[in-house]
Order: sequence, then structure tokens, then C-alpha cells
Amino acid sequence: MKKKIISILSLCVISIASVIALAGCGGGVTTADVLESYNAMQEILLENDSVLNKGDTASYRNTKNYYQISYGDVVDEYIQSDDENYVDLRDYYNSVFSFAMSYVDENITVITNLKDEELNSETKRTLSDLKDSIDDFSDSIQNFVDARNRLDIYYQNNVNVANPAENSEIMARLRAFKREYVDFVDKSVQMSLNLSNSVEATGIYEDVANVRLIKNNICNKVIRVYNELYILDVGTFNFAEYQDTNAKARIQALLDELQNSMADYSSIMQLNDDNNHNELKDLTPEELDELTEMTDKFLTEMDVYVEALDGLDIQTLGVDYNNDMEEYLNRNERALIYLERVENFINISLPDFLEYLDNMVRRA
Amino acid sequence: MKKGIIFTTIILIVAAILTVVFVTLFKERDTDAVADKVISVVDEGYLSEDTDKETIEEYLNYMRSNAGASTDEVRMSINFYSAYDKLGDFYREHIIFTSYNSTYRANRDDVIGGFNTATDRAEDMVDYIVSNTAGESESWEARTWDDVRVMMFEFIEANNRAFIALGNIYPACGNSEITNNDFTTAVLNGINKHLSDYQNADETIDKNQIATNVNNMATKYLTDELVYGYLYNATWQTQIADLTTNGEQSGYYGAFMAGTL
Repeated sequence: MKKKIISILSLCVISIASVIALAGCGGGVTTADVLESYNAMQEILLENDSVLNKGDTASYRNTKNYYQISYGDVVDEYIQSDDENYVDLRDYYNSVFSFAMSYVDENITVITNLKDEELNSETKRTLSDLKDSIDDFSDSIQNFVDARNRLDIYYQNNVNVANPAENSEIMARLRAFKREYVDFVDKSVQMSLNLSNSVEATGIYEDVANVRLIKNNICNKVIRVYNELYILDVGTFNFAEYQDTNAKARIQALLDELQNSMADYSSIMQLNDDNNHNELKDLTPEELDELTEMTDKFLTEMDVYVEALDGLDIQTLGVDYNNDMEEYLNRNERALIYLERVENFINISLPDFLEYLDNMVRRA
Repeated sequence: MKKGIIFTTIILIVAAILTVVFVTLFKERDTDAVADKVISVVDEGYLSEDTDKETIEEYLNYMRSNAGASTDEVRMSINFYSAYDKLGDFYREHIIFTSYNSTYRANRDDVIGGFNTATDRAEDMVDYIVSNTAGESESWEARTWDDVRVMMFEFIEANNRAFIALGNIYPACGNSEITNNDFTTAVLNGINKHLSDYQNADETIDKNQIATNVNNMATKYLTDELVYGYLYNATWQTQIADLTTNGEQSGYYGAFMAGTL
């Protein structure tokens, strides 16, 4: 009996120790595993290149996005004709997706070129999350492509419908597609953020004062600002259809302001340091320290912004309370405070930081 | 017998573990209690735009020209009330984004207790003022100030206690350095110094000056533009660095503490 108890206890201790050990070393994920996942993702993208293609996107507003979504002839035409129901597919969904993917493509080698024995423990810890998010994103590609194909077939069959924007079936189909797209974009952002964390954990910024890498890392983390509000919060329901109220007008003003700041963000994101376009400054170690410190402060404020967005819960305000803030305050008495914090972040903190970042990294 | 001892020991160990688990699970780890109190006072209490505040302010404004020798006391009360308004707005917007720590724990009761007492005194004042209205003219006898001032002074003491505690909590617990930085710390410390000086001031004229300074500092400095923009404002950074380094010897000190920098 005594032996039995000791055996059971020993087994428990060994199991717990194994779990702790596995958690501590990131489940044994290597850089080769990350590369394998990345290559598998590239293959899936290639198999679906009629929908997701890399290349010149000069016809869109952002001139250096590698990834362009082909929505099908009919929808593409609406997008290029600035139809208000479709422009967000180009201005937000595709832009955020493209920037996230560009970051991954341009920076994945920072990790995959390292040998496992060169990795510090902090980087090792991040690899498991990175690999999981690449696999997650790969899994979501087919769902997105299927959703796009369903939309395309439906539009081809209904190409002659008069006033499509007033046709509830067409708009419902578009919204269903956007919901699939939200999930897809969010997974690409999560993957790029996890890569940022892995790259940062290597300590590369302390060893190599590469302004492009640092600028890319900062920009990549800032993309969360656009993803959280426009794509995750508002993109998951039909915001425009709910009651016109003061609260709705304030949120709409935030979306408009975000659109303005996206242009500034894109401009900084696209600065590069190749031989023909050496647009980036060479920063002194002191300037790099200052930039890092300011970025850390901004990212902390960004966490508060995300906390405020979660607290505000725009979807519940819209769907359950039809944008009636007075009613909503009975359930969420801090809603107005959260909204004010989001407003101050988007109207003051974000443009201040983007201007600062631009001044710091752009060659005069 | 032996089995009984083992059984009792096991029960005691389990009880001890469960106690630790429950204490850990249910102990206060957030700053909600203080945030809820601030929000309720600003949104629904005597700092909100409700009839109680209107009644007190109307009374004070009337008394400003009718309190005879007590005019300075009335002015001081008006200035403090205005300052509490601005400070309340600032903390309402920021205090929910703070983290629990020992400074929070040490000051929590002063905030809640201070606001509770101030709420009671505000209600007492409103009851008294309403029941002493002369006819329909909404004018009050000058002598009513003798009674109201007692309540008003307790109201000020209680508010000062709450706002001094908030001024201790925020710099130690604010989560973001964009909104909790050297600038906000200097401003809140400066206001706390004034509020502490009030306790030791004997002359009404000094107390009135303190109230004016607090109101000026809160009005001038606790704006969204200055608070959020400080990290990008080289001029303010230079001045605040000088103030932080040199304290009262700084050339900016006088103007800063008067709310006129």
C-alpha cells in the first residue's frame, strides 16, 4: 500500500516536472520547425495565388503592398470604383493583411537563419507561439479562399441586379464574407506580432543598429491599433446599419481619423534602405536608445487603448443597445470613460507618436 | 490512535492550503474600489452636473457679495469646489487604468472615506440651504453662512483628504507613461503640497490663496493636450526636469505652483 502511494506520488511529480520543463523550453520547437511551417504556408499561398497574389498593387492606394486579394471581377470593380460598401476591403482589410505579411516575409530569416544553439532562452520560449500562429494562419487560408469563392460565384450569378447596395441579400453575403476576412486578417496580424516578439527576443537590436529592422518592428507592432478597432471591433458586425446617435458619430469620427493616420503609417512603413531609395537615417546609439524608450512608452499606452476598447465593447453597444449610450451606461457605467480614452489615443497619442517616429527614422 | 493523529494532521494541512488558496483568490488585487468611488462622485455625486451641485454653487455665488467679513472664506470655497471639479474629471478619466500595489493599499481608505464624508457634508449643506431659502427669491440671509461654513470646512477637509490620497496613488499606480509621467507627477505633487499646506495655514487669506493655486494648477495643467503631449514637448520637459532637480530653488517653481507657468 505504502509503495503504491509512493509510486503514484512519484508519477505525479514526474508528470508535473515534464509539463513545467516543456513549457519552459517552448515545447522543443526549433528554428527548422519554424522554417518548415513558414514554407508550408508559402506553398498553400502559392496554391491559391489566383486569390492571394504577391506583386505590384499600384492600382490600390498603398503602393508597396506585396499581397493583393483578388475578390473576383465584380467585387474588384466595386472596390476600384470607390464604392463605400467595399473600400474597406482595400483600405483596411487588405492593407493590414499586406503589412502584416510583408513584415513576416521580410523578417522571418532573422529567426530561421539562426542556429538553435545560438538562441537565447527568451527566443526559444517565443518559438512555440510563433510556429503555432504560422500553422493557425495556414489553416485559415483555405477557409478564406472558400469564402471568397462563394462570394465570387454569388456575384457572378447576380451581376445584373440593380442598386446592389440596396439589395439585402447581396449586402448580407458581403457581410458574411467580411466576417471570414476578419478572422483571416487577425491571424496574419497575430503571426506577425509573434514574429516581432521572437526577433526582439534575439537581442538583435542591441547588437545591430539596423534602422530598417527596428523601424519594421515598431511599425509592425503599431498595426495592432488599426486591427483592433476597425477590423476586430467594427468589422465583425454591421456597424453602419445601427441607429444614428451621438455615440455612433463619435465612433465614426474615430474610424475616419484612423483612416487618415493609416496614410501616415503606410508612408513610414514603406520607407526603405535599398540602394535606390536610401530613405532611412543612420541613427546614433543615443538616438536608438531614445527611440526604443519612446516606443516602449507608446506600446504601453497602446495596451491601455486595447484595454479601453475591450471595456467599451462597441459590438454590444451597437447590437444590443442600438448605439443608445444612455441605455448602455446602465449596463456598462464606464463606457464613456473608455470611449474618451480611445478618442484621446487615436486623436492625440497615435499622431504624436507617428510624427515622432517619422522624424526619427526618415532621412531629411 | 496513530491513524487518528495522521487523519487530523492531513485535515489540518488541507485546511491550511485551502485557507491560503481562498485568501489568495479573494484578496483585493485591482483598483476598482477607488475607481468606482471617483466615478460615482463625478458622474452622480456632488461633482456631477446635478441639482445638489447647482444649489451649493448658487448659494456660494450669492454669498460672495453678501457674506460681509467672510467673503474670503466664500471665495476660497468657490475656488476649492472648482478645483475638485477639474481634479475629479482628471482622475475619473485615468484612475481605472491603474494597478494595485502597496501605495494603493495605503491610500485606498482615505479616498473612499474622504469622498464618503464629503458626500454627507454636501447633502447636509443642500438640506440646510434649501430649508433656509428666503421666500421665492432664492436669497439667503448673511447669517446662514455661519452655519454653512462649518459644513463647508468639513467638506473641504474631507475632499482634501481624498484628493491627497489620489495624488499619492496615481503616480505610483498609473499604467501608462504617456499619461503618468514626470509632468503629471510634478503637477499632482504640487497640488498635494498645496492641499497639505492648507491644513497648517491659519489665515483665511492664505487658505484662499492655496485654493486659488490648486484651482489654477488643475485648470492649466490637467488638460488632455498637456498630459498626452508631454513626452513630445521639449519645452515642458526642460522646465519639469529643472523643477524636479532643483525643487523650490528652480526659477520655474513660483509660476508653476501658482498655475501660471
